[in-house]
Amino acid sequence: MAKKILVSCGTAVATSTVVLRKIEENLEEKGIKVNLIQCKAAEVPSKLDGVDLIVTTTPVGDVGDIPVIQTLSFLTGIGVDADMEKIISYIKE
Amino acid sequence: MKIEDILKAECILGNIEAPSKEAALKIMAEKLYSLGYVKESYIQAIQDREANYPSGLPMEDLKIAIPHTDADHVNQSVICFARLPEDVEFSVMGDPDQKIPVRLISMFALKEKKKIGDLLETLITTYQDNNVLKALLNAEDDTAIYNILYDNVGKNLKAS
Repeated sequence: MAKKILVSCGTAVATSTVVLRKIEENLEEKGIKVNLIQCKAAEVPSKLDGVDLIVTTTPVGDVGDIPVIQTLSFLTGIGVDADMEKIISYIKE
Repeated sequence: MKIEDILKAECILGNIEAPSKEAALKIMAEKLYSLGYVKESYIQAIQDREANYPSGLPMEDLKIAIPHTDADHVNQSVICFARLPEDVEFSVMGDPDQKIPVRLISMFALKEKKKIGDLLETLITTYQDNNVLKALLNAEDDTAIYNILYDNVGKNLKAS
């Protein structure tokens, strides 16, 4: 089953849309299918059901054992490759 | 979307004096209103949106902001680009507690709501290239800015 990644930003309007697309394109190129869900950072703790990884631009609250990658790389272009490696390492386990 | 449909020479403001981001956004939004691209409500809407959902991009070297607001306030889609002689402070997109100095502002007004993701991604991808930002900052005049945007945003714009 495809892994579930929650993509969050402060508002779930523009920023996470861009982050989500960038992750989707990157994974597609590598032939990896995932289920990406967009939400506000504040909503993250209430949306953890079945989530394998959280990628966020801004701090999220208590998410228990679920790994969190907080990064602006998809907006700035700095460190995208390193973040993609991290993302893949989490969803491949 | 084609680059010539949204990039207009009359909306390139290569030298605007503004002491704050609010002042810069006001000049840009009023320009778009005076040219008929947006409704009067856009002028306030762009300020509100920036206050709530900031649009500064914290690139490693030069920074830029990409303010925008809802399609309801727009008559015709357009990009408005401004360059300031001095830094103004913007908050960072996706991380509002972080502040960055900005001299380049790439505002847009988009009438087609569902294309906002495409255009945002295009602009962000374009401005991730520090050489593009450097060229915009050092461009001689409005025409030079227009040409840089035409080539680089145009290249990344999806044909759809």
